[in-house]
Amino acid sequence: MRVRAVYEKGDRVRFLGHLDVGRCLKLALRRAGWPVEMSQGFSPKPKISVYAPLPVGVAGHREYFDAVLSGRPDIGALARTLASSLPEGFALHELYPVGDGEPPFEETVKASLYSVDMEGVEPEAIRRALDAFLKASQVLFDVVRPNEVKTVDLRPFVLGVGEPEEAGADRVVLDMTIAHDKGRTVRPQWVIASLAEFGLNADPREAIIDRRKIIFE
Amino acid sequence: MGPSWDDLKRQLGKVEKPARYVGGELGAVRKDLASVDVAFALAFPDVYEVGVSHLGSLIIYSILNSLDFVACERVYMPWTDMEQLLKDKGWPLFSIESRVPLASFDIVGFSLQYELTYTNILAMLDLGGIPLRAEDRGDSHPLVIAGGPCAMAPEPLADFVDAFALGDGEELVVDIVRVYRDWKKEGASRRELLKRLAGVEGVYVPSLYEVVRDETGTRAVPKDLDGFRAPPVVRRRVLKSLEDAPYPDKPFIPLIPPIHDRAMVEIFRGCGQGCRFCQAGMLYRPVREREPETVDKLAREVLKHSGYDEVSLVSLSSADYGFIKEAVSRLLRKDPCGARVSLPSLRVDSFSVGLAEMLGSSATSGLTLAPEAGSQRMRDAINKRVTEEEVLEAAESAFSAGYSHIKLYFMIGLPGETDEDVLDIARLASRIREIGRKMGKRPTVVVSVSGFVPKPHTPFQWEPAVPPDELKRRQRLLRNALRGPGLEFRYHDAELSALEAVFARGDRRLGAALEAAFRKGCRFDAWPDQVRFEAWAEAFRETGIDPAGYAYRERPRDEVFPWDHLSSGVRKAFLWREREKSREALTTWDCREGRCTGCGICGDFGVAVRLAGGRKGPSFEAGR
Repeated sequence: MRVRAVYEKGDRVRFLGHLDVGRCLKLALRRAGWPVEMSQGFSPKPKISVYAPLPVGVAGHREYFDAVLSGRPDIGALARTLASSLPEGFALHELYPVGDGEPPFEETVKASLYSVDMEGVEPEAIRRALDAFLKASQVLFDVVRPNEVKTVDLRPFVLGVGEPEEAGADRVVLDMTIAHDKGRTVRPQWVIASLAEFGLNADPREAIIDRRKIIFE
Repeated sequence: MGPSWDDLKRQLGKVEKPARYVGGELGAVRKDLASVDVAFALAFPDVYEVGVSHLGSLIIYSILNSLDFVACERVYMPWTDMEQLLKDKGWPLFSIESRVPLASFDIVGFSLQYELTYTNILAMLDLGGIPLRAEDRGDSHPLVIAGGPCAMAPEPLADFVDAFALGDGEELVVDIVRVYRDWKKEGASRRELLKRLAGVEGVYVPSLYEVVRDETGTRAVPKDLDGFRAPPVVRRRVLKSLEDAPYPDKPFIPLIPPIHDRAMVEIFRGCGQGCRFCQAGMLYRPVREREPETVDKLAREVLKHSGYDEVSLVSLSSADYGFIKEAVSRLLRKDPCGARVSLPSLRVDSFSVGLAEMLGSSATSGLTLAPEAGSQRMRDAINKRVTEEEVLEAAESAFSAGYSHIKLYFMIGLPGETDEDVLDIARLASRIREIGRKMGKRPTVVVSVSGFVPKPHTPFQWEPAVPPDELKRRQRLLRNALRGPGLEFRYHDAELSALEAVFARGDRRLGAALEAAFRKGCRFDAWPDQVRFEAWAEAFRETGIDPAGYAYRERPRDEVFPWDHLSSGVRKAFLWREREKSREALTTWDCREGRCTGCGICGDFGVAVRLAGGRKGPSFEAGR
């Protein structure tokens, strides 16, 4: 039986990377005693799929993973045992069975809705920079990885941005909707970094970013 | 104060692996620091992933937090980017659990596992807002203590640490926090606290000793303080039995993978093999085994609590455990999820076919064996009592159990080593490869070689280390002999071994060089990509220290060492006898075989070898 969990990668665990989250979930499922099926082969692994990776630093309010279980255990009992086995910062929101005919998860993801929280910027300044960004036909950005630099066009991925709102002194919060295209997407930090060329002076590393939800087809 | 969570999280995007600094581990203990008598910061002078894997720290953390008058929190050495961030923001080094500055704790206790972490200790004190030198600390500052193997020869740190805790920490740390609590309630002076601590068995307070240097060596002599004198010799604390000792069966589980990402159960402490280079083998005597039922119970408990599917049965030489096969097979069998079992530090002699097969069925990685030396003569000299046939048989068992990747640990630069001895390492590795090939495998034999560093409290404490240039020549010799498919050569940085050799047998004068190196920015000296040898060379020069005199000098028999006032329980006369036997390539047996070797600890310390299952240990022979 395949089950899908809607869980939260909360504020306290925002600094975990995707692999760390997977490791934490795997340990929690074992503590919870879930009958997770193991893969075949030389080094069997539990059949768990953690979807739509979040980068280090980004929290997620409604994230998804699937687990393949042997037998047909009671969903309510599974949910209770997992909820009490998760480390602080994680929470289980929903748990439901998934049929075999479902399309692959990543193909159904259309976009992510993020909230971006920045300090030391004027709402007006960010509004202007975002307007310029949205008017541009392409916004090339260099993603620097340890062994390569990859240039991506951020523009088509940014589906929309909300009105920047003041959230206390010197603090601005805005929504950002970013597309997923067959598993490919871009990071909100990159978008903020790219706003430098449109006149915004903000350190993207200081932005606090949460994925509020994943939007499906 | 330390940073608030909101302030911290806005900055952590600037550092590598920020999860190192945020805690939140399942099973971490967070008490109200204001409501306890003693707030204790357990400080590990290396990065988070290394520190959280350290079993000794887990033990101390769980014992301290089990006391209702103590709250123990953790702090690790921040990576260089985080150190810079702390400085940029004007934040002090803070504890993981409550995010409060190091300086606000009553006691800061460092774990001393390795000499090349010493500059990190100074950095942590400094970042934590604590004066570096013990003499500059007053009543408002924490008591700075340190324990672990390096505390048995701690003079290079004597200027910076108020008190050293020697030996097994389980009972000692409780004694220390009790003395501290009573002293704090009375509101007596800091000097009074130090005197009281010096009265606890196993505590060495360096400021109560004067260092006397003459033609016989360097000795620490208790000062006369208005009639008070600390003990002339401080004895290491020794737990009589591991069976009754507390064990962290519900350890905290890090959210990012530690370097040893699995459950751990200590199956015995101490080692009876008596390898002459090995400090741990001398420092943790006598052997005390846990009962197999207890091992099994603890392993299941940790597995259940953690969610791990692998447990490591740890000790200095796990295959020597009296019930190793039983313990492994029980864990493999009973667990319906099929826990994997790993054994660190496998000896090649007691490694049996059965054990290889058992582990092979669950092993994911290769197998590591430690013959330590390539020639029989050299293995006899270091008392690694294993024959070439035994090594080859062990390799054959491993290949037949399904392993194809075998890693071999060796040392070079051992006392009396010739080029032939070095080349024998390559010959042994080639023979193992041949065995693998004959069995139809495509074997990989990895030869990992480190430079020998003479350590205090061992039979080789009188021996010189080999200087880096000569060590490098021997590395090249070996590398040239190890070319070919299926053979890999790895070696440690020779300069690092040299620095370690200086501090391992250092005296109090080295404190000045250590501080100078810290001021020049030296950190993470054990990390080959971080250590700055030029800065160290300057530090030695400026403070008038001749490092070669510490590292490469052979000591005469009657020299008084800077650690002679700290007793491990193994007598110096025994160590010298072992050293003399080494010169003749004569071996000494393991006292678990039934005959006392006369190292002295059982008689002098009133302890005994404890073997599981009611097996009889050696009867102590007085007067040997």
